[in-house]
Amino acid sequence: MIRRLGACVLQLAAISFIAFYLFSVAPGDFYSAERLSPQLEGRSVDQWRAAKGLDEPWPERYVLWCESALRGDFGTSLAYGVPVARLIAPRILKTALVLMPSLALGWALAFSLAAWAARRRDRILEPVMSVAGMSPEVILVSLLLWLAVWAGAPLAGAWLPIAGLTAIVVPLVFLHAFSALTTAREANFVRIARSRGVPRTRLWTRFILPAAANPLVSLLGPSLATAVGSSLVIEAMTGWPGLGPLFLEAVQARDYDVVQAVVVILAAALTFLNLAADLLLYRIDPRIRLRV
Amino acid sequence: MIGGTLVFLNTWSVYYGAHRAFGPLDLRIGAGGKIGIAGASGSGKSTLLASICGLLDPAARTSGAIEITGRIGYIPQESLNSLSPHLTALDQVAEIAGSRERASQLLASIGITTDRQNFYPHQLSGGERQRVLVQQALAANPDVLVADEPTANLDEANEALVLGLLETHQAALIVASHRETVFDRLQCRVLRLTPRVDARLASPPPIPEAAHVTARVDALTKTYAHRDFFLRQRQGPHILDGVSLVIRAGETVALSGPSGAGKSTLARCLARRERWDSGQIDTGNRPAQLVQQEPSESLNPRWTLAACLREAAPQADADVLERIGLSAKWFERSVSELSEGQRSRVAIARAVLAAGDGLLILDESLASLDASTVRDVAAFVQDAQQSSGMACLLITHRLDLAAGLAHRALSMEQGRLR
Repeated sequence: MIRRLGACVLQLAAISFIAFYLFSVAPGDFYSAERLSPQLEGRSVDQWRAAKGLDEPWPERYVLWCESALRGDFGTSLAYGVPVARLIAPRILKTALVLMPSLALGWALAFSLAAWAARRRDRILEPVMSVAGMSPEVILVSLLLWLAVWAGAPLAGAWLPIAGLTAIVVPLVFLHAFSALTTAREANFVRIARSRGVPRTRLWTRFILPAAANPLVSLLGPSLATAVGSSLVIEAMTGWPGLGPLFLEAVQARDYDVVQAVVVILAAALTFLNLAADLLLYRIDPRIRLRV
Repeated sequence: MIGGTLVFLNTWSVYYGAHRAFGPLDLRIGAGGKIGIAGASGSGKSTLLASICGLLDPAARTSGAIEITGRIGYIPQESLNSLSPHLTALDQVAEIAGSRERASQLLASIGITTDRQNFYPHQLSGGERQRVLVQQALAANPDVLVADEPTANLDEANEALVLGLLETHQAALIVASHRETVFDRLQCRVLRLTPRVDARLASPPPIPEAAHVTARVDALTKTYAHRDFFLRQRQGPHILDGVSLVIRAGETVALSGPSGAGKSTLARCLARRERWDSGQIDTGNRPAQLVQQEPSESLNPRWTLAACLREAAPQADADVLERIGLSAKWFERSVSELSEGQRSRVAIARAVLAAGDGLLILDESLASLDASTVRDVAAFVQDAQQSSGMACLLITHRLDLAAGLAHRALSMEQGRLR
C-alpha cells in the first residue's frame, strides 16, 4: 500500500518533469510574436523575457517551479497576468460540471445497455458501438450539432458538451461491459448455478455481476482519461468555457505556467482515480485480498 | 413418457464438428436407479453427463431424442471455475439451500468445519472444493444426481465420505468414473462407452547393481516466513524439517502422506521452483522435471503436439505418440483438440523426454487419470528408466500405484520422512 502510494507520487513527478521538458525544448516562446513586430526592438523583448525569468536554462526553471508548486503556488499566467490558480479554478469547476454528469450518465447508460444486450445475447449493438467508439470527437459533435439544428434545440448551455462527452463514454464502457458480462454469463460456475435453479435476479447479483466487475473497475481510470482528453476538444468546439479552450489557448501562446498547471492537475486526478480503482478491486475481489 | 422414468435417451449422440464424442446411446433411468458410466479418457463421459444436464458447449451438435423429467443435480468434475470465486464455501451452498444455517449443517456433515466454511474457493484444497460441489448439488433436492468423477481428487477417508453421501441420498444416480471400485461401492449398473481394459501395471524394471546417485537431498529445511503488520519477520511452521533422501538411477521411489505434509514443497524444491532455508539438493547438472496435478494444463493449448514434444526433446517424432497410446497421425494436431486424459499423456511424455537421464517427479499427476492411461504412461516411464536410467519420484495417495510402480515407498508427515 505504501509502495503503491510512493509509485503514485513518482508517477506525478515524472509527468510534471516530462511535460515541463517537452514544452521548454519546443521552439518559440511567449514573446515569439513580439520579436517579429517592426515597432519593437529586440532588446526590449529580451528585457521582458529576463523579467519573467524565461532566459534561465530550463532545469533551473523546473526546480523553481517544483519549489513553488509544492507550496501550492502554480505561478502566474503570462497572458493574463493573474495567478494561475485564480485563472483555472473557475475553469475546472466548469469542466467538472460537464465531466461528472456525462461520466455518470455514460456509465449508467452503457452499463444498462450492455446488461440488456448480454441478457438477450443480442449482438446487434456491438458493431454500432465499435463504429461509434472509433469515431473522433469532431465527427460525433458535428453530428450532434447537426441534429440540434435540425430539431431546433438551443445551441448554448451545458447540454451540448454533456451530450457530446456522453457519446464518447458510452461506446467505450459498453464494449468493455458487454464483453465482461457475456464472458461472465458463460462462465462455468454461472452455468452450473443456473442449472441448480438459482433464481435469475440472484444469479445476476450474486454470480454474474461480481464476476464481471474486475475489468469494469479497472476501466474507471481509462474512461476518465478518455473523457478528459475528449472534453478539451468538445469544449472548444461547443464554446463551453471550461479548461479546454483555456488549455488550447495557453499551448498556442506558450503560457508555460498555465499549461504546466493544467497537465499536473489532470494527471493528479487520473492517478488518484486509478489508485481508488485499485483499492476498490482489492476490496471486492477475495482472490486479491486473501492470497494463499 | 413411460411412468416413473426420469431420464430417457434414445439413440442420443453428441458431435463436435465432424467428430462424434459418443453414441448413439440408449439409456433409461427411473427413481432409485443407479448407473455408472465407464470408459477410457476421451470416450465422451463428461460430454454425456453435460448433455443430460443441459450444460453442453453451445458449439456441440446433437442427434436422437432426450427427455428429462425431474430436477437434475450436477456434480461437475472439480476445477477452480466450477465455483464462483466471489462467494465463500458457505455462501455457495446457501444460495442453493436457501438458508445459511442449513448450508452450514450440510458442509459440517462432510467435514468442512465452521472456520473453513468462510473460506473462498481459492483458499480451499481440491478435495474440499469437490465436497462443496457435492453438497451444493444435494442442497437443491434433486431427483437425479449426475456426478462426473466425484472422487478423483479425494483421499481415501474423504472418498468414503462422499460415496456414503451419494449412496444414502434417495435420488437416482448417474456417475462417471475411471475407478471400477466406485461402481462396486455404489452398486451401479455399469454402462461402458469403451470396452473394459486390462489395467494391470507392469512391475518395475530391476535397478542395476552399480547405479549411480541421480538425486541427493541432505537435511533440507524450509519454513514459510511472512511479515506482520509492522513489517517484522515472523517464522511460520516447518514445512520441511530435515529431509534427507537418495534416489539412484533407474529407481522409482513412491512418496505418500497426508495433505500438508510437505510432499509438494519437496517436489518444487527438487525442481528448483522454490527456495529452501538450509540443507542441500544435488541433482547433477539438471533440475528435476516436475509434473503436477492436472498435467493437462501444463500444455499451451495453441501449440501442436509436435511443438510441445520438440520443445522438450528436439529429436522427438510421432513414434512417441504411439508409445503413449495415441495415434501417430495426431502429431500435427493442436493440443486443444485433445481430451483431458489425452493431454495428460502428452504432458507426462514431454516431461519424460525432458528429464533424459535425470529425475522425473510425478506429483499426484496420475491421480485423476483413468486406468488405461495410467498403464500406458507407466509403461512409457519404465521404458525410459530402462533405456536412459531416468529416476522417478512418484508422489501419490493411491496405494495401488505406489505398490505397483515403485521399488520402495516412503511416507512423509509434518515435514519429516519416515
